[in-house]
Amino acid sequence: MTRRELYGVIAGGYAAGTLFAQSADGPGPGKGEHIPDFRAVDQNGKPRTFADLTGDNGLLLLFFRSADW
Amino acid sequence: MERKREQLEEQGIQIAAISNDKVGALEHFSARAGIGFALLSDPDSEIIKRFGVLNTSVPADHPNYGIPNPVEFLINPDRTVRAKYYEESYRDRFTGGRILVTELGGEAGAAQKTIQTDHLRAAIWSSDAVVRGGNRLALGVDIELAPKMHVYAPGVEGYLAIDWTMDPEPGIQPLEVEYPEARRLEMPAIQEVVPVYEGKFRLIRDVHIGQPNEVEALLDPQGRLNLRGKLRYQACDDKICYLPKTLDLSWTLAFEQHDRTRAPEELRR
Repeated sequence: MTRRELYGVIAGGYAAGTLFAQSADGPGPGKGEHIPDFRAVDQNGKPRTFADLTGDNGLLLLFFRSADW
Repeated sequence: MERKREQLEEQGIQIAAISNDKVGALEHFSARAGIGFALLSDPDSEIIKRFGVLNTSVPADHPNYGIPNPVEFLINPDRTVRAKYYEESYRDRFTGGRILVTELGGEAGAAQKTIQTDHLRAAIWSSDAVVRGGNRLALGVDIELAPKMHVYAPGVEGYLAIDWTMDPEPGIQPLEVEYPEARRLEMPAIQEVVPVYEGKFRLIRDVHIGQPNEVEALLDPQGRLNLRGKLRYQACDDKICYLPKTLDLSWTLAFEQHDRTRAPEELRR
């Protein structure tokens, strides 16, 4: 694979919104980048999206290992 | 995090947490631990993968496959990342208080004690009053110098710069001190320009707390963790420089054990 092709694959991944390269500050989107939109069910069985979760100044989103271990 | 939720909400920040647990396990945990923010279920790790935070060190055939790396994103309402907190080990975690104090410029978390000398007042604080093993929290010293007084900042030559050291303890890892930008003070009489601090300024440093077995021996009879350090400085006013002084700093933090209760079998992953 040439370098140009490699860039193409990475850019394609970004465009599809399914891939975030490992940025210098750890895995996932880096500072200034957009997070992918998401929809998930909360502990009360209610579907939630970023738009309804965020406060006026933002959302602190924690990825955690498990609530059960 | 729950402990700091109200303060974050006052700053207009909501909290949510995602894991690949089933809804039932999250409901069980939420009720048991009194969680007041959204716990999101991502049972197929679809969101975890889309964010690019899947823990790839877990083999696909392992029961724990699908867990995320322990990352925390502070996200602006326009969905851009404002800050990201990441610890290599899944057992390590930035505290909510640390994020409040260092990222959002919140008030110092838990006041510890205040020391008054002839030259300054030092208010000692920690971002959290309660810690757990694996926490990364912030310790701080807010200094207010007496009028016309200054202390020397790091990088000064020929004078004693302010210096904050921590007493070494096994299981406790202090990180570098964040010193604010110094003012350059011109002293025409001796043709020198020196970096100094005047008025009010804040010194802050992160500290990694080891796992419970690593810090157990440090706990006092009340189960508290006592951290100690020293602040050395030389103060001068517009006329004279005083003898260097060393202050004893200390922080007392309640130490909480991890919650090892599990959800009923049928709710597990």
